[in-house]
Amino acid sequence: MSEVGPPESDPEALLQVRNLQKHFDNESGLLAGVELDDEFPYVSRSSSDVRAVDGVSFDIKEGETLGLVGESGCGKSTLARTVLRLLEPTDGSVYFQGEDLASLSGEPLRRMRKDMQMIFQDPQSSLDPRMKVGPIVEEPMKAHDMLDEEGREARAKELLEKVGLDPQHYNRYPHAFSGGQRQRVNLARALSVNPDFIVCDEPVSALDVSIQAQVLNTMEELQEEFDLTYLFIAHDLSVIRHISDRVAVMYLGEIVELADKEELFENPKHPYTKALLDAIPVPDPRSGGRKALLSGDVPSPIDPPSGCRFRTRCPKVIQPEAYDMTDEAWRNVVEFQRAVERRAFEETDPEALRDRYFDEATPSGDAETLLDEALGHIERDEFEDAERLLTERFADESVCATANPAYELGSELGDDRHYAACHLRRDEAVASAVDERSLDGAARPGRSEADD
Amino acid sequence: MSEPLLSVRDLKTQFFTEDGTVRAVDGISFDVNEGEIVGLVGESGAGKSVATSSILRLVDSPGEIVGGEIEFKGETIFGLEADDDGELRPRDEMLTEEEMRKQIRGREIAIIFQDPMESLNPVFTVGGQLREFIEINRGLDPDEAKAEAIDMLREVGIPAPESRYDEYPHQFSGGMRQRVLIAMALACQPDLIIADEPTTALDVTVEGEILEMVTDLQEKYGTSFIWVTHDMSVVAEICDRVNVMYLGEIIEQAEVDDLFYDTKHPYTSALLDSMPRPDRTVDELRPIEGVMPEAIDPPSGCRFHSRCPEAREVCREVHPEPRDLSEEGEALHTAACVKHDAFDVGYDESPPIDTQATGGFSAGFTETGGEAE
Repeated sequence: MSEVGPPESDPEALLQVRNLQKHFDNESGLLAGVELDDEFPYVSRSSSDVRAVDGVSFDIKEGETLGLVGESGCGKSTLARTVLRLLEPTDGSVYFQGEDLASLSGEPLRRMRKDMQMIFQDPQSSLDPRMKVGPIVEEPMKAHDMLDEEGREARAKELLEKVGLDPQHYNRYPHAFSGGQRQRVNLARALSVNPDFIVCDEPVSALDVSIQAQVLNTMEELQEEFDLTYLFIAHDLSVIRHISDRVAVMYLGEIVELADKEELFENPKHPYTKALLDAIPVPDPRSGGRKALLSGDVPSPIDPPSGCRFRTRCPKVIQPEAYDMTDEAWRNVVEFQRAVERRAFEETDPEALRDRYFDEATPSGDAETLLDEALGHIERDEFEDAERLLTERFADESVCATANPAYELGSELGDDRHYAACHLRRDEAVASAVDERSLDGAARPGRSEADD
Repeated sequence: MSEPLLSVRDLKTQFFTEDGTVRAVDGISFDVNEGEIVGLVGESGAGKSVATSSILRLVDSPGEIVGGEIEFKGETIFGLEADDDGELRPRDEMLTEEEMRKQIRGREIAIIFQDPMESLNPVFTVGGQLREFIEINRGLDPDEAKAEAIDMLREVGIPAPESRYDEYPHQFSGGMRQRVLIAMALACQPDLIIADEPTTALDVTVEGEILEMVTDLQEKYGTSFIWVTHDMSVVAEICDRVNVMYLGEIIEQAEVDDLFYDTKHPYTSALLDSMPRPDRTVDELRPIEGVMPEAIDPPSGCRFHSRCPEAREVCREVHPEPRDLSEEGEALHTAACVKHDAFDVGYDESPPIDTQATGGFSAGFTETGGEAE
């Protein structure tokens, strides 16, 4: 991402994340990674990393809320935990108030934790059922040697009141509270050590709508009062739109778009963001329904697609330069290729398939020859050959598959920068960090020299 | 209008616990017409799920349906009458337990639950479970049933259905599992499908796909749906008519457009106001204050009065029954709120009362009834 620069250069940013990676291997355990084969030597070992967070860079300014949104499994929570160094990063750095957390350990790291707190999704399981809420709120203060016993109790009561609970509930157990109230206890506990930065991992998604609004309002009030900075993770775009100043959209371990809230919601530049926005049902029966839908499943983070990771589901994959098809014909080819991959039809007759997938626009030239070949394979029931041919000659030839996109765009609403990882934006980009040579997914948006 | 497919009248389901009687569903009435998607909306604890299990007579001890009538296509699913001693007993035409099992559940009325993992058996293949269901309920032989099962899987958009037929539930993603359940529900081409929060556990993109698919399938098969949800956006998108539930009662009932643009009950408007919007930036959310009271001890009068911003003295005393408030020639629109003239209990003259919602700023900041300051 082109916000990359020397870490010291942006004194305003409270937190700077640079090219952060977190891979999980499967090598722990006796039989981990062992696979059985039909042929000699029958047993093989492979190690395959799950690339949960793969080269993520962003800044969070003091006092702002950065929303992080994405589907389940895209790496949001792993990112949050890695940022706080609850998980050891595989690579990359996290600068918090100028210090690299990734290089800290032991006591200095522990002391640093005082300034960074976290709130979890499930308010039930993040509170010890055998502790009263007072001691729960006091515990972080104890761990960091804040105040004496009396002072801690007074502060805990004060905080309970601040988050909208009755200070007299100091001696109650968590089970006596409703979900929304428990989340408030979590808030009070996070606030007890006076942190600067709070990571909120889906803090309201387990709550009812009406309670959700109460908690969101409280969080905003607290942010103002205590000058807090939030990293707010949610899968619900409406909540993100309400609470965030800037929004980052994550897909399969990478940030695909990052911009000011208004800019991102009103002027999304990445097809994935658009698809997400189109997918949300709007609480208005006159809104006219949705336009387009994503098809297919999120690919596995063990072996993510090359280039742009969204390309296997993207409705706007770019045509390879080798062909000269009309846009409609190219769309049909893409759709047909995906249908073959999903085995979405039983039909093997080439004419019938042509009617079904290439009714209004057929490719011409080389593309047509390839298509005929693929249809021939299907007619002989060789689905795998057809799939390989179509994938290798069409999908894998696209620029989307051969280069990692990373573009910096001008922002139409708001004055901040707008980052979008989509090759469709290459002409409007004011800066880019595309490494054309690296085809194996080694290039990361974060590794750019764009600002230099 | 023709006869409704399903008609529920004054249904009451109660749970008899040691602490007292929980009136989970307390006198609700609604109809489902043919080919219609009817929404049942409310917060958790409103009694939505108890209402739907009552329709299928799936309420277990300590719960019991204690009153009301449920008619489905002219058959009595539930009905009581007084015998000679004045005791209530099931009416003769009420379907027996066996008839319910053999004719109604699965075949005529299917249900889709929120958690697809819990509804599928983890030790049998997905295809096998679907095949068995079709075999038993439609009387096909195993091969035909298998072919039908694969067709249904394709119909609901499972990729490569032939090979996925032999996979186990854990090999499917959440969205895929929910599709399998929808396939299962549709397999017997029932007249009514009850969908109990089927998309709540799913991602927005997957939720979108499923909603789209349901709309398509509904057009194709003409199935009616009861769609249980807490999400007003989903309601706006797929429902034709909506019932809003609060604490065991239906407090507003209207066509979807009327509900959003001509809201009659303060609870419904509060619910709509408390939602952040995806399509525009809302500066300040207006949450509903307080939490839903326990159904074991509901507030007197109007059950919402303790959280209602428009509550007056009379709301504490008078329990409003839903009344039709629609103008002549308009679609039915009922609401249970005495602020409307149709009730005529002196709302306008009654003095406003202090509730959590009207008690000023401090009350707005706490859930404990304004004790904070």
